[in-house]
Amino acid sequence: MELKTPQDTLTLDPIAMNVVNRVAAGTVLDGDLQFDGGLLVQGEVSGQVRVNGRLIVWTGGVVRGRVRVSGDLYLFGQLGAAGGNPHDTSLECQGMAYVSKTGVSTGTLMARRLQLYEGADLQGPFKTLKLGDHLPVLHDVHTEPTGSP
Amino acid sequence: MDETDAFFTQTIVGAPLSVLLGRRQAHPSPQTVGLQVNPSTGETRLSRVWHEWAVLSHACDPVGQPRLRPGRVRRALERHALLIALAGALALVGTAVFWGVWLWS
Repeated sequence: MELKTPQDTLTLDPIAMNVVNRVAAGTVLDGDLQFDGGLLVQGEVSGQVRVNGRLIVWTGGVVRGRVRVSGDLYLFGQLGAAGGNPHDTSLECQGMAYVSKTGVSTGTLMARRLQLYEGADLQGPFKTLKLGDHLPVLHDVHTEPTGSP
Repeated sequence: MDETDAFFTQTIVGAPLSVLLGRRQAHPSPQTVGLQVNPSTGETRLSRVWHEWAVLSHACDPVGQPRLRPGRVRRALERHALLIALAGALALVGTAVFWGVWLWS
C-alpha cells in the first residue's frame, strides 16, 4: 500500500506578501529591470532582473536571464527557456524556493533552501546558497563620478 | 502600505487566493507528535498536523508559508457550512414549534 503524504496549499495574499508588481499574461519585458516589492509574473520577463521581495512565477509565466530575488520564490511556471541551456538562465534566491507540481526549471537555481513538490520538473542544476554567498554585483557598488581636476 | 497602495495592489495584482502546491517530496513527519518544544528557547507549539485541526482561522498564519491542505471531510463541511447551519436552525425552530403545539394542546 502506497503511503501518500498530504498536499500543501499556499495562500497568496498580495497585500500581506507585499507583492505590488505584476507582469500580466501576454506581456513581455526584457532588459535591466528592478522591482521594488514582490513580483507576480504571468507573462515573460527576461534580462537582468532584480526583485526586492518575493517572486511568484505563475502557471504560464516565464522568467529568463540573470535574476536575483531577495525573498522567497514560488515557481508554478517556467524558469529558463524550454529546452534551454542551464547557463542561459540563473536565479539567485536569498530565501526559500518552492517548486510546485507545475513548476519547470531549465536554468540554474540557487537558493538558501528548496522545497520540491511531486511533479516538479527540475532540469537544471541547483545550488545551495550560504550566508557568505551574497556577493555584491556591479549595481551594488556606488562609485564616485570622476570629476575634472 | 497605506490604503491607496492596498487598493491598487488588490486591483492590479489581485485578491488573495489559495493555490495547490502538491505533495511534498520529503519524508513525512511523525503523525503522532503533538507538541513541539524548541530546546533553545523553550517555546512550545502544536505540530503541523495538529495545528491544521486545532486552528480554525488561518488569518494569523505566517505570510507566504504553505500549509497542509484540509482533508476531504473538512473541505466538504466548509463548503456546505451555510446549509448545515441553516438545517440546524430549521431543526431548532421545528423542535420549538412542535413542543409548543404539543404543550398547547
